[in-house]
Amino acid sequence: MAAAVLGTKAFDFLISRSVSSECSLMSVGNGENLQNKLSDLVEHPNAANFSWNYAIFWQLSCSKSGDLVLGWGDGCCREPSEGEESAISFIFKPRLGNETQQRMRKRVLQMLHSLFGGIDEDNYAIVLDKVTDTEIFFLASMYFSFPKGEGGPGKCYESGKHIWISDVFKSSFDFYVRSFLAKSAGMQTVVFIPTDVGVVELGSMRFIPENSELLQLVGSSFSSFSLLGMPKKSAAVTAVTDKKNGDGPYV
Amino acid sequence: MSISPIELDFFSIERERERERERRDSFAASKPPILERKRSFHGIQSIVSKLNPEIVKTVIQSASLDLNKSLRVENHNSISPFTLDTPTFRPSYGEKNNAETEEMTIVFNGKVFHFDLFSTHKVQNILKLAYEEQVTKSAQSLESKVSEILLEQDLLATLDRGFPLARRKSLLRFLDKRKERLI
Repeated sequence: MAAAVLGTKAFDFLISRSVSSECSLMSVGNGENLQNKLSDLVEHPNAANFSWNYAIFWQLSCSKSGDLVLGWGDGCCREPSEGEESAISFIFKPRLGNETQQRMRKRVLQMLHSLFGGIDEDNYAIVLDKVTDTEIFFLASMYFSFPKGEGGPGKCYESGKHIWISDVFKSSFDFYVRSFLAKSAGMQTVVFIPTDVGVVELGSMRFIPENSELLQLVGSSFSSFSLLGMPKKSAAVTAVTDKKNGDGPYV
Repeated sequence: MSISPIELDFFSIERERERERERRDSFAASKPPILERKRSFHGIQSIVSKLNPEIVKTVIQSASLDLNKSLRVENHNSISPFTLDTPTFRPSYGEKNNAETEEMTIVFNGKVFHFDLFSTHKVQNILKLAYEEQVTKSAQSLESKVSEILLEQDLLATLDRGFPLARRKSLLRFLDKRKERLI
């Protein structure tokens, strides 16, 4: 995709002119607008009563050395609704005793938090009474960052093409480092959609066949123009309206 | 918290009127008018000012003379509903306007939050949130929302921190939603 090449070049140009503040400015502009869009995909079922289980926006930024890197921009997740957990996903759930598993999860979150510069006061893992499969996946994801070409988001952004995996469990190619976590959370379908400022990652516990309309909608909805250019209200409304008209794969 | 609104009403409004007159004279720059919700806040704020006048900064910027007038009128009306029905917390805020940056001080639950904002948009967001929280939810979620906003401010202030702040923001929102879900 030419846009990806041009996008990268433009960012390289920006980097050469000024350091990370330029890239960081992009993240500043998103805020509520970005969260609303992600929330629309997850918390507002469309006409077919479908919504994704999680949506993450991997934001493009630059490291101190000036390299492009995709990192946590924002995300939204929800617990599975009735009947969403399929028999297949059940097989992939971790088998440790519940208490042990919970302790381990909290421990891991604590570690991640400290490792990535968190202060003890903020250590939220302590206050979590129970960490669900979706939650551990979602929370752990927050600590990931992908240099160009690495991991699902990295590869997706580099190629400029979307990646749609409808059968996570059958997929032999370990497409991203978090695949174990995703499988444990019961995700069957994972989609990566590149835009000029990052990558949108969507996941569902159901089997969702590839849907080009969705790809187009999301791709434009999370473009720099939509996230930063348009007034907040109209962008969100457009996205919601279009999505509801377009329907999910379940019609 | 015991409240006797009738007494403090006029006293603090009187103070406000003085200040408003002063500000209007000294501040030449006109900013876009702040939202109407402000009027209702003024009522609450007068109550807080009685409780702890040293802490509370209550400067309201008036965009126009009309707005000022309606502000005063609104005060009297808005006092009674708020004193009887509202929950135990009393948010209060003041706004000070400089030529270049906007400053905002929020006094809430005995804590003072003061920060520099760089856009009216942010101010509106905060005010809107505070208003919504006051009307619908509990003090706790308002507090977490305020701290979320504060983090957003950190974002503006320290541009090079990038991801950790985005993560922190998401975490706060996640925990907040979780709390609501479990309750």
